[in-house]
Amino acid sequence: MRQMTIAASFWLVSFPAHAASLAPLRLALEGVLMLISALVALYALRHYLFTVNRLFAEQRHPYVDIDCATWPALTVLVAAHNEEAVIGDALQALLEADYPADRLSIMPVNDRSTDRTAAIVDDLAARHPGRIIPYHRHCGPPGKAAALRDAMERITTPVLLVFDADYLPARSLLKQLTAPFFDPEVGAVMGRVVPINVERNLLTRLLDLERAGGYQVDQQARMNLGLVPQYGGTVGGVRRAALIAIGGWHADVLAEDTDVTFRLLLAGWKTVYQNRCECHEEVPETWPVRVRQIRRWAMGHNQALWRHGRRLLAAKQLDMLVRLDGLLLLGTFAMAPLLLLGWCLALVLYYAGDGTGAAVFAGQLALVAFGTFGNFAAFFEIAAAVYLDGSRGRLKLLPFNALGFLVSTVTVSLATIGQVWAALRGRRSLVWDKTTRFRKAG
Amino acid sequence: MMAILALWTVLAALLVPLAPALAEWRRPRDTAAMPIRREHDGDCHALARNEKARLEAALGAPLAQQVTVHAADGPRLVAGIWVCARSQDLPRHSVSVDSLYCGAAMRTSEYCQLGGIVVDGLLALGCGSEVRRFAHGRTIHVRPGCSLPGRITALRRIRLQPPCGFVRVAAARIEFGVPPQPTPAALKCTVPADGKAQSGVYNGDVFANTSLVIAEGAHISGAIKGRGDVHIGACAYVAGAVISGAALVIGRGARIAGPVVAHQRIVFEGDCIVGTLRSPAAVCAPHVEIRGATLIHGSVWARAGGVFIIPEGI
Repeated sequence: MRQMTIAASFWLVSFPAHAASLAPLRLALEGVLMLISALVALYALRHYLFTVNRLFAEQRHPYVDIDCATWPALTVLVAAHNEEAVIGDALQALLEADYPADRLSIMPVNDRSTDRTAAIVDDLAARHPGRIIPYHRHCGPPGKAAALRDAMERITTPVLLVFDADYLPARSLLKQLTAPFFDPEVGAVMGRVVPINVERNLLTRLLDLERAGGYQVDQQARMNLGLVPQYGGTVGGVRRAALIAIGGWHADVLAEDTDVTFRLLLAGWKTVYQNRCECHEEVPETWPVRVRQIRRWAMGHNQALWRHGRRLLAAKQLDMLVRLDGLLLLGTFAMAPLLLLGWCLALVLYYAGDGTGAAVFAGQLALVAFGTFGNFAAFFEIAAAVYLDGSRGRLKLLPFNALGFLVSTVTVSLATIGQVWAALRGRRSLVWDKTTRFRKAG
Repeated sequence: MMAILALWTVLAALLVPLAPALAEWRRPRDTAAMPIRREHDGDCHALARNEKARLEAALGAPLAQQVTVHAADGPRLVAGIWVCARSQDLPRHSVSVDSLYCGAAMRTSEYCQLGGIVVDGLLALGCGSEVRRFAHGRTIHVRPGCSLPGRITALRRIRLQPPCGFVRVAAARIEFGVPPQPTPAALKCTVPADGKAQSGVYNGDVFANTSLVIAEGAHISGAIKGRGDVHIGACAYVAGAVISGAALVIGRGARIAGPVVAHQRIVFEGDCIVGTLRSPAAVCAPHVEIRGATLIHGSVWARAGGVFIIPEGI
């Protein structure tokens, strides 16, 4: 796509005499550019609205004060594939949770691990009989969604929570995450993910800023406004009845969290974000790992956009603003290639002699995109989040997020183009790419 | 020459915003992960427990042992906490900024102001007293006119007399006034006399997109959710939770087994019971108003403030 755009640019520059006859083409390109600009401006407006809401409006935490109740039976799923370095700590933390022991089952879902994960899990299960119920999966399609789908057949509790193997939940977290399920309208709940290995290098520090913006501002604002908080696949949970009603986990998706969020939404269930349910996680420490992670997210998100976008538009039972927010959420990753296309178009039109409109749009695109799409959490959202978290010094690193933004834009664009190309050729196989862990065992 | 100078000047100007970033990158000063207290269990009694633990650490021995040893002594200051072994009566208008610990019972006269107080026995707060941080005891009696912006917790029972203001109260049994008794007679109006399902009996959850009114004497076997106001009729029974997206009014004599949550305010009209001794439940909303004798097993949390008043004529 990019090569075609550059070629077109050279052609236009080389043959100015043809410019008059190319007026319809130029008009079409300007139309596309204006459309992209409008989309970018819409996202910018949305992020401004979220930031202002988070900073100045009333905050909704309706279930956080439920501190005593007859807690429902609960299963905690811990998805694990070659997690020998971290699985023991996660299970130990869950064993120490402040939740009635007779109502809590911990189910490590060991998905075809080839390292010592199975042995560690079995050892802990033997030492805590009845509390840890391991599920060892030896065959079937790869991926977290497929593993969770198989594990679901063994679960009978009304509520299930999902954690990744590198998470260390606090003692009160299980109760806090379960409390929203007393509301019969709630289908899923999501807590806040907080990076623990911030000090490792520049990348982890930038990811810490990005996560803060995404959760502290973006998710909480959507919760405040009654829009579409997203179930994130970990530090969260689902009501079993709701999950069964929407057809369970789908094994052929790369982002099972986004997929479940939108299927629940379309079926009339609410997803609740609990900003005070914080849990530490490990973020990627190297750029190649980060790139693979973004690539998987982008492909999964785009897949969800393809599957649910039209249904969401047609869902008359949902409020108009909810539908709009849902579409914008689904389209987040699809905007990266559009952004690149917009830049290319602006250049083409500029060199083709359209020095007014194109230049203005180019400037607008560059500026607004920088502020809006920086690593998927707008920069001003990051600033607001850091302020709300009470940190100060790390905010100085904000300009470096441009680096992460560029990496993300290129990675997401390539992933999207590859995905579209594979779909056009009829190859739709999705390859699960597990995020590398950096913590050392013990 | 001038052009090069101008170019460098422009470049330097562009780099100025990056200078703090470069400094923070090369000499990191704010790299700690956001702290999460993993041991925090959300227990309402944690403040009192931590205070006792702090005291024990300062004394170097369990409190019960210390109380025995110093039974004959008067109050003494240990680690910023006033400690007394025997029962104490605080005179009128006493003001205590420090925390207090009493191994037996403690009674305050009128208009005392307390910071934090932990009592192993009965704590009786005199009329017009105020607890600013926390109060904890085996049993707590709150006389009329008290203001309780702090956290009030008891192992067994808290009895409050109107009028009083509160924010967070937790105990196995919280009595607002003289509580109603969950006797079979009181249950009669919630169960159909012939035992058959009638229009007032609902099996499962009840949900409404807007406001919701539950009829008098209705029996709901599940939870209730209304995105708008919710009104629970008199003598109704709800086996699950009650959630309101706006205001929630609980009619006289209603019984609710599960948590009670409203996004704006909750009003108890009197003779209501929430939870049971074996199954405590939480009541939470920014504003909670209790207008008659009510019994709550569990906790009440009114972040913006709660009041217990008996309107005239009742």
